[in-house]
Amino acid sequence: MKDDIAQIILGLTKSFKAMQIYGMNHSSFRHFFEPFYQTTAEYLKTHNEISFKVEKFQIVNVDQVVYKEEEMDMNIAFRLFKDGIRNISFLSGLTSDELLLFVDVISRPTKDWDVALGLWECNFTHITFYVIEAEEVLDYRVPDVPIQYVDYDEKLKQLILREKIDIDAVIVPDLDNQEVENLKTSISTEEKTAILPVVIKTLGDYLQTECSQEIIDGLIEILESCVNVKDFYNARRIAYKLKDIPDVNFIERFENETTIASFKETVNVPEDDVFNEFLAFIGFFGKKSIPFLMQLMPFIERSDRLNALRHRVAHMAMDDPAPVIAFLRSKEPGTVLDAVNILGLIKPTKIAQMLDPLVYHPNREVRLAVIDALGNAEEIDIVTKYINDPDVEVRIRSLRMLGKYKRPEIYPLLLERIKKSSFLGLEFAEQREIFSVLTANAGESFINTMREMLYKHKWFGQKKYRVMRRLAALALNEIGTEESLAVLKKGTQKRNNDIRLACESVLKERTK
Amino acid sequence: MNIYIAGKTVVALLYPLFKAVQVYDINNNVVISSAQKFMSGIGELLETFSSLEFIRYRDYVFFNKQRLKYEIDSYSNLQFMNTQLKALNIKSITFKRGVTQQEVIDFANIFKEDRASFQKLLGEKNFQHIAIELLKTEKEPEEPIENGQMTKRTYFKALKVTKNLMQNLWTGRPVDVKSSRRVIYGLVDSISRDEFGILALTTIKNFDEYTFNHSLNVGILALALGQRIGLDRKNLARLGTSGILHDIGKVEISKELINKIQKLTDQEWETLKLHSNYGVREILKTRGLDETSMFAIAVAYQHHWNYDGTGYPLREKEDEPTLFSRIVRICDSYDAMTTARGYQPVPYLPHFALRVIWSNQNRLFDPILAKVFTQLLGIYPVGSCLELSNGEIGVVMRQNPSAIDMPNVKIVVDSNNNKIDGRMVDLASHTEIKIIRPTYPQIYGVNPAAYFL
Ligand SMILES: [Fe+2]
Ligand SMILES: [Fe+2]
Repeated sequence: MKDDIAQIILGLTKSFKAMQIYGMNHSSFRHFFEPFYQTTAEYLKTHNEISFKVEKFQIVNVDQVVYKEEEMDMNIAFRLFKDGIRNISFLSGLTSDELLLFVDVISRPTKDWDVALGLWECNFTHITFYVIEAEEVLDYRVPDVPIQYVDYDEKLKQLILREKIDIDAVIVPDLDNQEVENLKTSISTEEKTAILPVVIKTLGDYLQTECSQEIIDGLIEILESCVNVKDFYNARRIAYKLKDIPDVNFIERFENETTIASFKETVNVPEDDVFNEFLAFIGFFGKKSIPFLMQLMPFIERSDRLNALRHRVAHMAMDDPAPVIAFLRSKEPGTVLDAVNILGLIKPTKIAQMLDPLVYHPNREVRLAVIDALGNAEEIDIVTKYINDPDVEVRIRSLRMLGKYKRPEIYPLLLERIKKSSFLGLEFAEQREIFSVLTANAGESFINTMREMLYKHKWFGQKKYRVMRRLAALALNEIGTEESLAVLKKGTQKRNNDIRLACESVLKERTK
Repeated sequence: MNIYIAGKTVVALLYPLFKAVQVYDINNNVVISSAQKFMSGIGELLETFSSLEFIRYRDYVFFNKQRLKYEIDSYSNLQFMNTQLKALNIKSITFKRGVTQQEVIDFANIFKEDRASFQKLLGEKNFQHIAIELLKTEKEPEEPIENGQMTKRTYFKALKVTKNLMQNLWTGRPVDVKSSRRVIYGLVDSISRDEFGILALTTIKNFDEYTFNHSLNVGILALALGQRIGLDRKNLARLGTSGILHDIGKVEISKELINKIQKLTDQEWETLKLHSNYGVREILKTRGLDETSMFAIAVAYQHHWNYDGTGYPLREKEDEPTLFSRIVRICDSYDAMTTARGYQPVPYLPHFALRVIWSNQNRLFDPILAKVFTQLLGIYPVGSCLELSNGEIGVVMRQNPSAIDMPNVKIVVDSNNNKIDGRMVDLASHTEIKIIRPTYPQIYGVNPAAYFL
């Protein structure tokens, strides 16, 4: 036997045994397999092909027995032989993966395993083999045909009549270049477009003629595999086909923690299409899944997507927000935030009551969310509590909400506040917001108050009073009535620089 | 590069050179440049392979022992090569290492001659690096691989498996999916080794067990067509499975209705049409939902969809049949037309069936596929019975890829109307014998399928 062939066979035998003992991921298998692949690839560089003839208990290469094994167990030759394989060739270009797969296929337990079928299904490019079907008695004989007269002309006449064809048409079946191109395109498009959508459509159409259980089961099976591989485009299409079929709950199987937690990656995929398909598919989910979807929210990186999912969940919880309310007690501020937000979208009638315990929530974001939610639901009473919040942004947000929904009862409260000297220590944004609320809630009398503030040193005599004049001017402008504007116009003629400038600048803004 | 691609490449390089010397003088630029292209193309190949050998066997061309298949993009190159080798009575041509451009041009130049002058010039030239082996006799050489037996074995094994599958479904017994998967690969191998051999076996029809033979025949025809358009093995396996399973839905319909001889009532016809739907269910039941099943499901549902949008089951405008469904649509019609059944005791002659396919391209069938199908089967498909100008009757045994209206026939009835086990005649080489018209084998008590067994 030639040395290199002997090396290859040795490599094969050792890899075959190691595969059975250790499996392909074990380092001991690799230890045998790597040199086996190296010697084979090296040989193929110069020889182009190596071919083995398979006999019952031996393997032959160019009339030389290179492998012989009488033992039935672990017998490579017999394993190949028994399934009809009579020849195996490795061709140059053989990849390590192909050879690995080959060793794997021939090493599997023999019971119920057809090696030939296994090798066929690998679709190797650089391994070819020759398989024969088991010897069988083929006594097939075609029946004798009794002599029978057939009237050719009559038959031809019938044919032409029935098929309406021109029997003498010239047949030139050559394809022109355009047709060859078209055919190639049609084959490659076919390969690119998946068969799955076609099957879904077919099964869906089938259901329109007959509500067959096997078909429904088939669709559900595909649905499961789609969800497994996160193909929500097809999942949604299947769900759409199944949704109107009575007594079929196809979605329940996905409404559990494990499945929904597996969507963690999906919510952050770069492609918007994929996320939108996911969102559409979630639309088929029921209330049961709300807690798990809530648990998914902290993983969402993009705020627009988080918002979209909150909307979905709000939609699900529309008639019964209880599962969302449960999350208001969560220790995770993020989750509380989500819950508050969703309730703001649902606007349940008792939202004020639900959110009341959160008014003094230590997390500022939560408090902001509460304001928004209550604002959305037009439940302003609690919002009033926030004008004394320690956080400026919370105060501003609450003021803004109060400005939006006129609340005369807080008028005196705020008026009191701007008269205090501490007012001048506030940030301009908050000062401005307080004035806006007053403006929004104000009646005639407020114009008088503002006029006084603008013109006189009524409340405090500090230098900082310039700011107060400016705020008063802005408020008058915002009120925008004839009366209030008249006050501003008059102000432009005052000798006091501060007054004049404040009035001029707001009026300038206005004409713009 | 694998042998198959290498072979296709060399043929593709030879073709323009051979064509060029037919038109131009050997010093012409067109000749020189195609010779240069050929030389640079084979240079690399001769490093990998020690020599480039073409053998012609029957109508197949083998390159370094590997058969080159007739595929849509190599069809004319290969057809030309086959025709010339045959005309010049060449068994093999081998290009060896060291071959020069001048040798190649000189060789191409004599390759265009007729047989007599070719042989004379070949003796004079005495090429150093191109070996040409001529056929000793007119007789076809021995088969390089023992194909015939293999092909038959594969066919009958497949028939048995198909029959078991359908009968078990019919009677509600469990089916053996593994053996039907295996059978498909056997058929795919068979097609790639010897498509004409296995195509010939599709002339085996069985009146009593119509459905089994029909299913298998459609599978084989589809595979042959699929190979011709260049599908890879994986897709061929899917296509073959889809072909065999296309009518599987019929197991849900009563045998009485399927075998009914009288004209069907409207109601019965509607029931029969449901086999397209039922096929989907049967495939789901038996094979589950792997990739291959999905292709088969589409085919089972769509195989009566016509190219122009008509057909059943009803479909929406945007629904188009898959490539496999369009292939099976043609093969199914052809096999059905050429098979005797209760309501059709004398089936269409293969020649007529082919004309029906040809005339209905665009309306019922994908026109490009209909053309390829015609190329594949020829004007007188394998199994046709022909009346010849010398008074004999021949059965078409094999197509001539180079002349689709002049097949190889076996004489089965002599000019005195006696049934005989006659000689093989290649009508392309014996142009003195003309085809008068196709004829009905029943008139002579002949079963064409018998000659392929
Ligand atoms: Fe059918
Ligand atoms: Fe059919």
